[in-house]
Amino acid sequence: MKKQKVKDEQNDMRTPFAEFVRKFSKQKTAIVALGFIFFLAILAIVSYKIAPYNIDAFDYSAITQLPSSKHLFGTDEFGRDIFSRVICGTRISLLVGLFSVSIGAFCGTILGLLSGYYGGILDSTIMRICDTLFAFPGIILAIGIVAILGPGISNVVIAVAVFSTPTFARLVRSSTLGLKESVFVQAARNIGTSDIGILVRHILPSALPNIIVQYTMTIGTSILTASSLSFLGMGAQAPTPEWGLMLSNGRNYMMSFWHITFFPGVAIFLTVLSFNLLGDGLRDALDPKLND
Amino acid sequence: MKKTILELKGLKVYYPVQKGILGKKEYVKAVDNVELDIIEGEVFGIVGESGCGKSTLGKAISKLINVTDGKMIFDGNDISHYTRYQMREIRKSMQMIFQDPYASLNPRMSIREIIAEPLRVHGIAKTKEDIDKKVISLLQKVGLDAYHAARYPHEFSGGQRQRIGIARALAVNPKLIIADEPVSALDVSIQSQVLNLMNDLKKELNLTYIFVAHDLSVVEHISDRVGVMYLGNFVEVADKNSLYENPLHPYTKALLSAVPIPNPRVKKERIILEGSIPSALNPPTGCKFHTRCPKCMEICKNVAPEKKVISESHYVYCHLYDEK
Amino acid sequence: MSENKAKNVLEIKNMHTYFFTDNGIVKSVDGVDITLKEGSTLGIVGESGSGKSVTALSIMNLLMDTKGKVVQGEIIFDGKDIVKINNEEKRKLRGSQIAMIFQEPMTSLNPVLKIGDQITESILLHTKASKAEAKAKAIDMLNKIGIPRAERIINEYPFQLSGGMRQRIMIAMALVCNPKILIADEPTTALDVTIQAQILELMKELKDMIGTSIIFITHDLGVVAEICDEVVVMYCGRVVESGDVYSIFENTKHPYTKGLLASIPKLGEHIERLESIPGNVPNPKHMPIGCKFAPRCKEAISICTEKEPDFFEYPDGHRSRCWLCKKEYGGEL
Repeated sequence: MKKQKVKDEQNDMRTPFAEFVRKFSKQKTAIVALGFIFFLAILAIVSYKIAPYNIDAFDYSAITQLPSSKHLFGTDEFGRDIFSRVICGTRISLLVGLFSVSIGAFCGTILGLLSGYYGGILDSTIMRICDTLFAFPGIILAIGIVAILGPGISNVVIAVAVFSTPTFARLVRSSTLGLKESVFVQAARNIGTSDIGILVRHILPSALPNIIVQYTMTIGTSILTASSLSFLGMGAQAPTPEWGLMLSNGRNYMMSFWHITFFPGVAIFLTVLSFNLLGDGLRDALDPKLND
Repeated sequence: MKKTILELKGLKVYYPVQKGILGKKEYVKAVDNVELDIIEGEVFGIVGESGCGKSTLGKAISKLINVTDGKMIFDGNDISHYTRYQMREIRKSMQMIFQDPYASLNPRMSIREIIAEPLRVHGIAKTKEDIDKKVISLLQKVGLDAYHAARYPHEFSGGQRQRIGIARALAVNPKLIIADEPVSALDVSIQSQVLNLMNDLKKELNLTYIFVAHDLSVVEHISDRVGVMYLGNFVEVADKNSLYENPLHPYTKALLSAVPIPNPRVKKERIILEGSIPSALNPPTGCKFHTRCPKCMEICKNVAPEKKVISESHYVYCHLYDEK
Repeated sequence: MSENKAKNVLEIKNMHTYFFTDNGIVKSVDGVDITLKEGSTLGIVGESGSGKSVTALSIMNLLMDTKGKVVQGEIIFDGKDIVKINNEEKRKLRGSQIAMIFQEPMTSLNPVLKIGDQITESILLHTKASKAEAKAKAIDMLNKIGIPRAERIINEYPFQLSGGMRQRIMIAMALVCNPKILIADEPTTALDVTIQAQILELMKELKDMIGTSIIFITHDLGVVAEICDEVVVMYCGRVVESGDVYSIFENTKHPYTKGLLASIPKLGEHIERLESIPGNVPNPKHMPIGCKFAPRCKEAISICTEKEPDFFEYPDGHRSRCWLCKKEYGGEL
């Protein structure tokens, strides 16, 4: 049997991950977004240590002060330094985002895999439940859940997890349906691989890119929802330095003291935007575009 | 006495099709009452055009699709109604090679993982060292190198991927390999490499092949016996010499005459069949080929022909050969 | 004796078509000379990566939406170099003077338009015929093509027809404006062999009836032997051998062509092992120095891996890009 001579090809190894990195490095906005998110992550870790003022430090002699060299973002109606509060709020926002979406993604993925692979009554039941949840706009659903469970940050996490589960379930189900019939899955069945083996080793890895993209974009939504719930008084409670709550407190002063609502608002805006841009970039990089 | 490794009796694969909500159920008769014996060590080619059911038959034999009716006896076991769990053991003896080398390998798995999967599933090799050893030996058997194991499918050409598919099939040491159009998607110069490889492996490992393809030249080259299918049935089964020198069924004759010969001096007298292949949803009555047959008789329209044995390795389903 | 009397309806001279991708430049066609004589059928044979399809797309200027461009060379049609004319003029040529049919008739036909509309679209675009005249022409063409019940077919949709019928419709659409050249890119590859036989017979009849010059692109040497008058063999973006069909099959000169012919299984020839060409088509990023086929060539000599051979032309017009041919004829290497 003739052996094939392969000379230069030995140096040309390209794992799927290396291919992804190459494509991703071309998405300029996504890289900037990723950089900002890294910055936020570091901030979340060190914020409490580096904050110039204690987040609870009331200072009635310096209330509602505009931004100055002493208070970079100014002070709020209780004299608390807004800069310190904003950077410390990063921790809560990121944690809420991560936890809620992780739970939602985990549950949704499992439901989607089972639903798509086995079909039948299981599929119909899961899908009808998802349809019901989808019928509500996300924020209304979240409000409803928090209303039942009571206010507080942990219930916000649960609420967001619940309303993001159907999105993941749908997404994973549709990937599963497509992949179920692909030739390499047939080949795996032909080998005798069990259903679990097929789901875990063949279907899940191929569905993973879509899950990751959805995950990233849902973090943005969840941070926004958490802030909105806090704004409405149903999420974080005073004196937590949560951005939505800070917006709510500053509502009454908006006309005269713009800085109280401006900085938390910008924080929310930039954070959610970065996650969305990162998600866009990931999606484009993971898109299996055919080469020429 | 040659041993029969696979016996098919009255095999049917029907797909139900619902016409409208209140309409009655109709069936696409993909495989319609097939009878076949495969002898151990032979290469049995199945050839036919689109809609003939050859791919469906191949998949039904390896139990990738459910059989509607009929019996399948493999190596003495009646596997017709085996569950997936029971089939697991059987799959060590029966493997499949797929047509599309680009789709049959999981793009996210390295070659080592792809070939290791059957080894792990059937407990043939358990430790990392054992698996590595076996993977390398399999790769070398199909003409690839050890360093290929760490790579991913997209780095290989079609022919190489097909070799990897063959290595994967060989991992469990099968007796029977069902090859579903294994070379159709490959370049001509690579086809011959893979065909030669399959031939060499057959001799070295004592394999039996069922080779499904639409290219009559390829099938005739590699097979010992060839079965010609049309709309779900075999119309003729013959050893390759008889098929070429003495084709009996009008469809076989038309098929043989339709193959373009790579020799510009040969001006063939072509049998051109009228019309196109009817739908398997509503196949013609009697002999399914009668609507296009140049030798159609009255009986052909109403009565399906029975098997007529011409010689030990040649039989045909055609009223032209009925005893008068 | 070379046929200099027949007029050349198309001449491709030293054409280079490159694709500018994110990964670098892919030289799909790298210096190709092809002539099509009036009224003859030229077969372009090659495997994947040979550049045969890209050659056809370059002629038809269908590379506009891709990253490909004809970077060098001329395509002389009707006395004009059609590489240099503007897009509007190129569009006018397409369909009326040079027509193309593709491999997959299902994707080439618009699924939401009736057959009749698609055929008449071409007529109305390129001629001054009225709608009624166009319809009559369409029906006439369908009859010529051997499609029964043409009046009914023009009101049907592509999905209602079989693969063979759709391919006939494609041929009808291509020929309805009486183009000088018909380019057929693997038109029968996706069809069943009995349907392929029908289509090939049809094309032979049309050739006699209408006298179109045809470029037939395929990888199937059997089809080439049956329908082509002249043959061009391509490998890695270059022409490696060209000549009339008898000469190519009976007096094969280039080792690649010899290898191809030896490696196809032939009906009735019952041999154990096929001759095969070892190795794979080279990676476009790692093209070998010298002759591109040398790494796989059983007859390669030392100069083959150093310098790329020029064409060696035999007295009867048969050409082969191989050092061995020059050597065989006593030329200096």
